[in-house]
Amino acid sequence: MSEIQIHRAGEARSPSAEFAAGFGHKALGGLRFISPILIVLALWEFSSRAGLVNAVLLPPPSAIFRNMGRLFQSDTGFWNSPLVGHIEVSLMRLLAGYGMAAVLCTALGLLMGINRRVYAFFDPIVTVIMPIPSLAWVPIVILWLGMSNATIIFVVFLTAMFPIIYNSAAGVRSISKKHLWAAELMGASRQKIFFKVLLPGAMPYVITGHILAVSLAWRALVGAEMLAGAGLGLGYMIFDARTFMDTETVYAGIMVIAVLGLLIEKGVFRPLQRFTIERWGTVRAG
Amino acid sequence: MGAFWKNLARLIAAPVILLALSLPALTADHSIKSAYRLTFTSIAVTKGDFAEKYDLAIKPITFPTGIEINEALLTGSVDVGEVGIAPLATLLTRTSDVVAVGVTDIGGGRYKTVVRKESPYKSMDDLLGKKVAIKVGSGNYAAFLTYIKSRGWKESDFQIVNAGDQEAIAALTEGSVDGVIYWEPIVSTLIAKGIARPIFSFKGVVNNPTFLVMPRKFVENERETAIRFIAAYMDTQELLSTDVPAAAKLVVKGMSASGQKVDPKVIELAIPSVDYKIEMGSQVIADEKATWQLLKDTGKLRGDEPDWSVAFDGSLIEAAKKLRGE
Repeated sequence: MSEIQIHRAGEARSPSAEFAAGFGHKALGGLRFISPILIVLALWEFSSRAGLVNAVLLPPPSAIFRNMGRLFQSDTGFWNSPLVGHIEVSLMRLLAGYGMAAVLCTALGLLMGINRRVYAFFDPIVTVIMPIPSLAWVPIVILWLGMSNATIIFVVFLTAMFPIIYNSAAGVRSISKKHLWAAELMGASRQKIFFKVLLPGAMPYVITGHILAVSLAWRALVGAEMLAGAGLGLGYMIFDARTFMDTETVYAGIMVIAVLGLLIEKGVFRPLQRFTIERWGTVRAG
Repeated sequence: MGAFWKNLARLIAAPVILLALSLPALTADHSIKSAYRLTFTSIAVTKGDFAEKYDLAIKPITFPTGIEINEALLTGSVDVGEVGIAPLATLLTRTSDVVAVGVTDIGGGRYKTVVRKESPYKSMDDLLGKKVAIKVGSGNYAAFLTYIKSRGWKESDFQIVNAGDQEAIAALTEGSVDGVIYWEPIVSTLIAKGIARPIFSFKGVVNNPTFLVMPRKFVENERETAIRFIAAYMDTQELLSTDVPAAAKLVVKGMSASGQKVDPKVIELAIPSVDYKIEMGSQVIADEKATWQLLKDTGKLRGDEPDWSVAFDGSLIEAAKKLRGE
């Protein structure tokens, strides 16, 4: 071990210093993430204000943020503002569609991984239907369920189901037979093998499937709301604003969608990863 | 002749035939990119031979409604488009780069409410609280707003479903909406197919004109082409006004090219539901201003009141009249 390493190893940091170092590290990371975005926004603002681009088609970000502020306002408070109402409806639809897919499709995917017959039956169906773009379903689903919440939730469900099924099944099938034999040799019951070997082993795949499902479902949701929104939802808000060439609202909607998508991924799935598969040691902490 | 020579002859003949077919477009001195949609005027002017007379080639680009045409006009994707009273109000609020150069047709009779044939609804009152498909922001939407205002109703008294023409047809066919408020010939198509029956006409409720709109730059740079187009358009309007059976045949021909099979008799009945007059009189301009105010009051429009003094240009009509020998 070199002298420097010995010195570092011997260093004892106070908790406040560690906190400061950690905070500094995070702040630097945040700055690195946000700087390119700020540069793009500044260039965008300049181009729009200087008339290099049509300000109706590409309004300056300052106008978009001002408009976003307006959309977050209401006489009866922030929570009753139009934008919060649209966000609420979109998130409820996402939750309903993804929730159904999460419960049903994780179970089906695991079952496909465990049982060859189930896999042989469902794999061709999944393989054929999976490549169909989710929005292609919308006109058909409108005919089945009408222009309603049910249509949008069903499209979200359809979008979310395939990555969950595919990854859950692949997760179970990727587990080495040696691990299963070892567990069997040690006298583990089938139930124990499932909960102690198969499930933790498949979990990195399952969680990846869910992350993919939510991100795809989020995109499908916005698209479906544009076609069958019937008055509410972020997709509908964008569609409606486009009708009246209210491009500031269109861009505000797009920005909210981006931020919410990021929050869902970083705020829900990242901690979930940290508390499950990284903690169990099935994947490397990043 | 051997198979080789036959194939060679076909290979040579195919591009020659294609060239011959596109000759009118290639040889015409003037060409215009025109937004095409399912309206009697748009179909007739594109499918008829009115433009050839003025050595003009019309290149149609299909759009479902005036809302999409607005975007095409703004981005310069088309040189002319038919835009309803409400989309024009929207467009003028956001830009002064476009100008209304004429009226395609005028009258509320083109807008009708239809319901499924077997449904119990008999009037607009029956549709309160029900799902109604309409193209929000379009001319029929402005007519609807005017009507419900006169009845003391609110938009929220209906479950409005914002639907394009094909979605509205599909939605009523499958019964996922209770009614459709749309324009001709879409409503007549639904009626002719036995899917729908009319329960309400906006004739007398509104007198909404539909406008011919061009980018200002096009009018300035291609004035001669713009005049020729207006002249061809006026010929089309004349046919629609004076020879309804011939116009209906033309419309049916155009519609069948887009996959819609309709009985010419149905179209014959629908064509006279509006007046085909190109002039933009003071009443037309007043109607446009009133619609702008209506949309502004309902919180739909963002932006300042347009500069009405430059929003309409009737000079092309006068030049077109001279060209037609009037």
